Amino acid sequence: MTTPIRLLVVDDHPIMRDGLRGLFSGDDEFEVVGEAGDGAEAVAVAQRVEVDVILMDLRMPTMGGVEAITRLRQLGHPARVLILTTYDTDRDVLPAIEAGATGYLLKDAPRDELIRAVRAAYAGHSVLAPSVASTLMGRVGSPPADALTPRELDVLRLVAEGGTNQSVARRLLVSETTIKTHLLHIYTKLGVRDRAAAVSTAYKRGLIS
Amino acid sequence: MASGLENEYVTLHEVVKAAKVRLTLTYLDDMLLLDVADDGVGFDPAADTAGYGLVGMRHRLAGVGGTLTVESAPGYGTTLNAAVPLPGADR
Repeated sequence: MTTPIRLLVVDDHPIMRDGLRGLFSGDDEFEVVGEAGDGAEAVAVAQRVEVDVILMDLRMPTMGGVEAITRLRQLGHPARVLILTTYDTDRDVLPAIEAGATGYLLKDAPRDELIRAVRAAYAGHSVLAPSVASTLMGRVGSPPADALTPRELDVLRLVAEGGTNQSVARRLLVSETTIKTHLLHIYTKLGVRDRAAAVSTAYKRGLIS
Repeated sequence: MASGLENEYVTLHEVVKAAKVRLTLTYLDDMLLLDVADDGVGFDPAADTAGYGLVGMRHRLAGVGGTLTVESAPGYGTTLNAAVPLPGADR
């Protein structure tokens, strides 16, 4: 038997950690060497014990997964990080990948897939849940995402609340002409044709909430 | 735009009895927008506007390739929008 892959399980829910520990402890190929309930604790544990792969939740109190990955990278920590979360929106996926996550799985993944993903991450291969892969592909395939200006976001928020050009104009004390111009710029930047698509794209990309 | 603004200033005080005026300057990559919104009495933009100096403003703006839009209704104040294309923004 070769040396087991050493795992650190990071999740703010104890039941989730127990479940993962149980899943991997039945297999000689893996060894759960630590647990953490948030990102800060994960960074601390990773510095104390030797870890090969970190199973990291994203949304946690005190310090989330993305910040923890960033800290680990700054520290030059060699562990691979496999995200295991419930969320697959752009807002979650992109920062995690950019921070340096090796893989991104969702919590509804079958156990075999999770085990394969840990092996792959250990070997340095990227593993992405299918929905996460399409999120990333969609991002690459879409037109350059020019950032919306704060003012354009103000306009978009009011439109998302159901505002007409006239009501948005009165609210912001500008002309409807200016609102229409802002909307045209917003459509171009988001690669859409109308206000409904602009609003839904903005929600999907996490530009407004 | 400056002399257009002077006209608007006189108009605001003497004609429409505006208490508040909001100027908004919007810089875009291809154009510059100036909105002048007042809370005065408003008017019907479709009616004869010769007395409001809008014709002169529109004419001066046209000289730099700009446009003037007037949005108003009796009781709702008036918002003027002057839009001027920025140099090098031809499409």
